[in-house]
Amino acid sequence: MSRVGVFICHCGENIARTVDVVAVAAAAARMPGVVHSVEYKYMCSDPGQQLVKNAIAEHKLTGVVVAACSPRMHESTFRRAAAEAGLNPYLLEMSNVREHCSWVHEDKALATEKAVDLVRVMVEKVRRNRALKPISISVEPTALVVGGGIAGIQAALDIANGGKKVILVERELSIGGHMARLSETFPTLDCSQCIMTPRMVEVASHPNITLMTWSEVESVSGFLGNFDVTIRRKARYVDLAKCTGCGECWNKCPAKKIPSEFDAGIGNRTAIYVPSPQAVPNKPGIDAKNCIMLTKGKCGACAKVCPRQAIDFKDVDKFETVKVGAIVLATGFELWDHSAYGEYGAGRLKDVIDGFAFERLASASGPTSGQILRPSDHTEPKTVVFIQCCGSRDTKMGMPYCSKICCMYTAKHAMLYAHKVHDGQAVVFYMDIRAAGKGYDEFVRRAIEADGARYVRGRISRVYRRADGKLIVRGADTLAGTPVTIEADMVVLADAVVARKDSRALAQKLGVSYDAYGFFSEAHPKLRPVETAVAGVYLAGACQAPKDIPDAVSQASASASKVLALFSKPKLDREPIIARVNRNNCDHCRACINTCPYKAISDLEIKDRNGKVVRVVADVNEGLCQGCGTCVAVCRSRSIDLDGFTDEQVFAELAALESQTK
Amino acid sequence: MTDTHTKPASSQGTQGPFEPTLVAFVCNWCTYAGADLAGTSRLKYAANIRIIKLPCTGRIDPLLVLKAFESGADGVLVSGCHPGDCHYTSGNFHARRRWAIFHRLLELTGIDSSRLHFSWVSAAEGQKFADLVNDVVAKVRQAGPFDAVNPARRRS
Amino acid sequence: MSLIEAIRADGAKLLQEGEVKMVLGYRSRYDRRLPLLITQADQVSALVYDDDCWQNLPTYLRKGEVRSAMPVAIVCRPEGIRSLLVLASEAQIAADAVRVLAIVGNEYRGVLDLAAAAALIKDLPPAPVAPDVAAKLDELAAMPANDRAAFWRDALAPCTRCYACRASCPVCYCQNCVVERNTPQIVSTTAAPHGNFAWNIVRAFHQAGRCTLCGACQAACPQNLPLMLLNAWIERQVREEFAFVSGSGLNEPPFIGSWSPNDDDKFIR
Repeated sequence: MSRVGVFICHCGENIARTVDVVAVAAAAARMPGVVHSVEYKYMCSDPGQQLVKNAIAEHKLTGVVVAACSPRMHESTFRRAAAEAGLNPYLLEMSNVREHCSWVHEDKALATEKAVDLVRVMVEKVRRNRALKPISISVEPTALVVGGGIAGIQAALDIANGGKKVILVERELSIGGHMARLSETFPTLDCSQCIMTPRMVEVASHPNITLMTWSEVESVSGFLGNFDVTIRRKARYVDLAKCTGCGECWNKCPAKKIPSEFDAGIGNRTAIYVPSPQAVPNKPGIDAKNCIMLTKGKCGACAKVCPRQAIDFKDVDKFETVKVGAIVLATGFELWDHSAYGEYGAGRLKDVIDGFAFERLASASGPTSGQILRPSDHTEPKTVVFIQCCGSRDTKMGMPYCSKICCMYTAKHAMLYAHKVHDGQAVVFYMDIRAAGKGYDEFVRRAIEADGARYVRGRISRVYRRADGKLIVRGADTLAGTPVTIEADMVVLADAVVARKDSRALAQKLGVSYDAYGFFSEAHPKLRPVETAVAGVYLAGACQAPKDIPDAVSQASASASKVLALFSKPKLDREPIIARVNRNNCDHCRACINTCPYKAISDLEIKDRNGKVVRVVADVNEGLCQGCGTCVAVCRSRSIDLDGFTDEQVFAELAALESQTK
Repeated sequence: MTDTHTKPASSQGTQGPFEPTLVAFVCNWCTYAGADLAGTSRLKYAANIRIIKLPCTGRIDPLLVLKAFESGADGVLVSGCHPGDCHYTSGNFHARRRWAIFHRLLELTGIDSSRLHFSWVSAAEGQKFADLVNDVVAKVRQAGPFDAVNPARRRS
Repeated sequence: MSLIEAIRADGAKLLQEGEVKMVLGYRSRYDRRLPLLITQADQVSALVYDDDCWQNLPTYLRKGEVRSAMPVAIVCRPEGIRSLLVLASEAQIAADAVRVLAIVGNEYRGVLDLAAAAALIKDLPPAPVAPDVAAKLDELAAMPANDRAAFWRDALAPCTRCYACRASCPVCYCQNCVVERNTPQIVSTTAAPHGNFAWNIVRAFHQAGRCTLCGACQAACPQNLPLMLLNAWIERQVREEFAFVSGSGLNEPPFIGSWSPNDDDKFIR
């Protein structure tokens, strides 16, 4: 006989305001199988939990229903309490009478009636719950970090310094990401490369880190603690074991006019190249699309001069499968392509550039050696207009969000410009100045007060090129209420921070969810900001949302600590919500085997005592099964069932609703 | 023939307009979370809905839908993660193919799209969930009580 | 040589040469045609074949006396061959355990192994839907929903839940059918409208992508329920919306249990 206890939470006024909790408790007391029913102000508080624990002991409860907030909020809290009182935690269920009831309905009578229903449904379910034991799985103590920007580097170093192995996969020829391209960083104006390069070198030389550049994640299978990741080692055409990075090859390469991605198109590179002089590894690769040998079949200049015969034009993509226990995604961001804005020249004006191009102009190691020269005629611009929120906070362009970093880097750009061009004038058009952060607002004030940047609140309606080469910037000063026209020599657009074009594809390989803009979703916006909903996959940096360097580094370290915690034990207990086969009933039609997204079901031969196979049935691998239950719905003979969501439980929930309609 | 559909007199009254009962089968990761978001955002929607949570739309068996109609629902909503967003990578794709056939089968037998609704609601779509529930309730209300003529309804 | 003489000759030869242990065909009893299981070459004269042979013989492959006499030769029309392919893809029969005595229309196509039978099927259109069934489906589709519900209430009311449909179906092979489950009871066993509805709908749905429109269920039904309306309707959806035909080959993925990112999404919002 079931002895169910029902506990109804007021959640202060959150539930009690719209749900008559006393009436719900009274109704629950009359439900079959219920022996105890109470309401309480804050069920999740210590005294509230104690109430549950005491009742479990006092009333010898065999099941508990807590009617409170969403189980996503407190199911684990109450299950822990139940376990502490000696009740199997899987004999406790929650009725969601807050998020799904009191907060979304206004009529107290209707909300109360619904709350009673929700409680009845869970009472009927819990009466059929079985005690479940956690499943113990092994953990491979190696982490995969995807992306070698500052976030990926930080995560990799933290994990490696914690004594665990790391595989760092980077799609470009070198690690370093966007940060390696910056000239100086806000709010301290220290040189980005000075703080970044030592970290990059540390990664390359760390005994616990395996670095795979020019590589991408091809496919992922497995689960928490036991991922099998296939990595595409893209054809580099250069044998890194032989190459010394002497540079003979790229000096000889005849294809010299390729716009450099690293320099945001401001400078050029060769077809065999290292992205920057500080690249790690400082060894080249061949860009197959622009290599004369690979496209036309003749040239081979690089191979001829290579003293180590490191160049192999027959190189092909190779695949390597690695076993890892955890994955940190740190794939970063892109800048939005502002050519969608016709009013800013639709990307056709040479002297309208993005933030990265300005970084490269300002960088001492950039194509202009740190001189600010405009791209069209290489003259020093005397008036530079910076336009913020280019795409950001523009619902029309599909980016209603704030890109977070632009206010700060534009202030930085204005300062760097003032420091380099003493007779120049920086004009910044902004919507709002968002400078929340340690030392940030002071930094913006400095740009205005000490470095003379002219800040104009307003939007730009048009940028066009006059015959003499001047860029005419027309807009409005919304504080003064006057139209503004500025004759500028260069315009810098603070393009929105957007997710990588292929972020969705990567998310789908991993089963990680993503938001409307392609940024990866965290498991909980406040309480689990670095985990994803996929156990064992964590997030670091701007792949989750626009972030500046300190935020990206913090999140990377947080992810690393999660990984190290996971790796601290050789075995891990996981939720026992898995499928089970009723072997006596299974007809071995293979429907479940074909359907399982995790390939967790396979044939099991049942043999007689002489070893002869008498029957074959389906069999679930407990480690691989993730508990989706897709197999259950395709089994025609109902020979497979899902613990925690069995047919018996779910149909009882439905029946509980039926009794209400009679 | 009398209408077998009755609600507790306490809330509906006996003369009040028809208030349908709506059963929703939702997945844990997207639509359940989307419904949570509707709650945390304090969006308001009709109180006629009763949610039954399953881990994944892949687990939502067509027989559950049939049973829901048999046991008193005037309308059924089935909802999960958008294609490509499934927490279990492909449970919703498997589900979609089953539903594609099942909803057509039920349509042939008179349970049409005014009563049986399918949607993708992500964890971020609290507003969509609230709007959806209101819309489905309105459609089912218009369709009227799940007809006593319908063989799928159990009669006591 | 007439069709039946050729089948008899091949059957006898297969048995004599030990190629198969049993031949599965039809016999005649008064005006009825019944399945015939023979193990001796001299019994082949009892084999008959005509338009009244409605049973789909792969159904009998699940019988103990047949299972213990594998390999068997089995008289099959195209629908039967498709049923065999469904059974093989669902691991219910081993592909090398059957030889097909294939009949297409009024023509005997000889002894084929399952691969050759599959190749034969490849060139044939899917089983045609009887014109009266197709016409009725169109008529139903044009009706208001409540009229369709009323039609099915009346159409399924006579069901006595004898399960002859299940027994006659080659792909209804579950040892314990879902209708026999009682914790929980998913399908009511009562011969009342809701139980009849649930049973016939569930059975039809379970055949999605598996039914070959052989017609055995409706032919077996003592109450003459219009079961082919359900089967043909599903077959139409599966074929038209998903370009899938049941039992098309030896290694075809199952219809339910596979998916495509381009599957119909129109009904989901």
